Amino acid sequence: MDGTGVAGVAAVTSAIPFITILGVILAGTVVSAVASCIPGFHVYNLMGFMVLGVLHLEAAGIVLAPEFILSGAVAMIVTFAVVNSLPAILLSAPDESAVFTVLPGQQYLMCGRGWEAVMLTACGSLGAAALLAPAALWLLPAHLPRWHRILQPHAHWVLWVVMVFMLMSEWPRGGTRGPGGWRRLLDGWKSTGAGLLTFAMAGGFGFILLYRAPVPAERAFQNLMPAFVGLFAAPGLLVNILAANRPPRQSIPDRLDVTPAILLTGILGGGLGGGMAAYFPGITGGVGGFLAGHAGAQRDERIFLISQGASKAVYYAGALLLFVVPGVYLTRSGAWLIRGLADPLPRNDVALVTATILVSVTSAFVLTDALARLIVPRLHRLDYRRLSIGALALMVAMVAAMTGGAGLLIMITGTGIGLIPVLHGARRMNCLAVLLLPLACNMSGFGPRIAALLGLV
Amino acid sequence: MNDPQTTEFGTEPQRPPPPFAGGIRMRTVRWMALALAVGGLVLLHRAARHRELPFVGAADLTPSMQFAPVRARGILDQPARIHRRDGEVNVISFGLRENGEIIHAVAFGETARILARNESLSQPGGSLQITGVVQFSPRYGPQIHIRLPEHVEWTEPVSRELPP
Repeated sequence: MDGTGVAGVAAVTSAIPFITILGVILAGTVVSAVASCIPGFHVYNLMGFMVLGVLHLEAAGIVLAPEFILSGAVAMIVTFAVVNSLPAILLSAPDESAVFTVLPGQQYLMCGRGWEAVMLTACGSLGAAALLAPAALWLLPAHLPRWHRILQPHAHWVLWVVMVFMLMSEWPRGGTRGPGGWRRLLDGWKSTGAGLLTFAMAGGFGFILLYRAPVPAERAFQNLMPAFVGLFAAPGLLVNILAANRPPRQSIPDRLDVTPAILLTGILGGGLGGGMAAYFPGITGGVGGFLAGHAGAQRDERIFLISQGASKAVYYAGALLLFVVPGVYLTRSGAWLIRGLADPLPRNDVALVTATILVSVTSAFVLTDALARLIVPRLHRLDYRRLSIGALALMVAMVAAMTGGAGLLIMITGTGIGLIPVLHGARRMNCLAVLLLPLACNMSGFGPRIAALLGLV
Repeated sequence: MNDPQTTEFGTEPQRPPPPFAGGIRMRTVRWMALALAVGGLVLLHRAARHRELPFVGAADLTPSMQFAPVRARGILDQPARIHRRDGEVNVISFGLRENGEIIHAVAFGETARILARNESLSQPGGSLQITGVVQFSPRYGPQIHIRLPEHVEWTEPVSRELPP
């Protein structure tokens, strides 16, 4: 260790005023916090437009310092990880990393305790970031390169095991009544079958997108954006439009019903899952939290919500840290958007990214509380249908502007696939096969051969 | 469907009527979703299969083209560089020169092992066409990742004159 942390920040701030960096972080936090309140919105969609903006500026001869790009992007992503609990729980539009918070979150919401569910999740994110910071500054630079050398050759079978676990945990839910026979068997396998079908279709969808996405080449960096909007955002919004449920009147208590032991259990479990999701490609924070939940056999809903918040924060923030850890420089999750714009400089960036994570998570926590207090009392009067129609129109406009007609076709296909588990009571997590299946095949060495069989290469 | 059914296990409780979604039967919505998914996948597959991949030059490649499947052609600049791990070919990389600019191509694993056996890649001057995916990083610049050995095609044999 050569005095990484503070020295690193000092090195950066000697070139760029500290106040300027702080201003970029806070601006990114506020923009992301406001945008994250939109149901179905994902920060990567907004960042796609920002990447295009930066490239246009570069073409015009205005080059932004990598520190600006890095700190702004990290602030936006980390803020989204925290504030996204608001629409995921209160407005029923989770992203791919928050699909598991919806069930207990909605139970809280329907009991008039939406604010508590949001803040329990936000507490998980805040606590996880606090634990992640020392790990980022001292543990990861010292040990991660060695761990990476050990783990990397095994990553492919870990992905297969995760997929098998996902599929095996789809337990038949129906078929418990009536005489035995085909009808009862079919009833029993209805939701499981829908889950397996979703997995298979999303996997095929992923092969098409990863090998030969029909989006324009100059927008290829966003070729998964319409798919994720279709798979995760649009189905939730469509169900909101069709069902138009309204939650009951909500209350905001003086304090959260949580003990330090529950908080710590949730943070550690979620942090473990989020860390796994950040490291292994294709696994998102939601899957990480799901695995950690099973491993820890968590039954308390508060632990579940806290762990999901922790998992999301560690997943999004951890992926960005892995991008800058010297000797590793892994490109995961949001780092793919930054990769083309900012070179991960050793040492300085670990400190810069850690500092940005801490400032933005803390600011995002405060903003989440403020926004939740603003939204929650008005929730029972909110017209979910109109809100969802507006959000869906915005998503369609963003997809069309970024990827054109081909992107819309991808989004519509994704919506069809994403609706299957929603309408048949299966797990939406199966939609993640869009990434998991092609990545696992690629990492196992036979992905291109399968793509060739499908006529895609 | 909604009538109570008497079975050998007794009378089944009456099931609730199927939910409605804004006047549309939920069953209809389910079938519509399935049709959308299947129809969309078929259309997308057709669109992807029949898509003509663009030819790119080094100057065309920008970070926004990350993951774009593209084709490139040029003259082999230098003998391909081969990297080994534990004595086995792990990575092969080479440059294609066209109009004074070089596009870097790289292949990994099994593809790299098969390409490394091709002696033509050790002799500069041959004209090549490659198909692959753009990967961009500020450190290494733009690269085209080749996924299958068949995606390296010789369009002309090795010329006698080496490239400048």
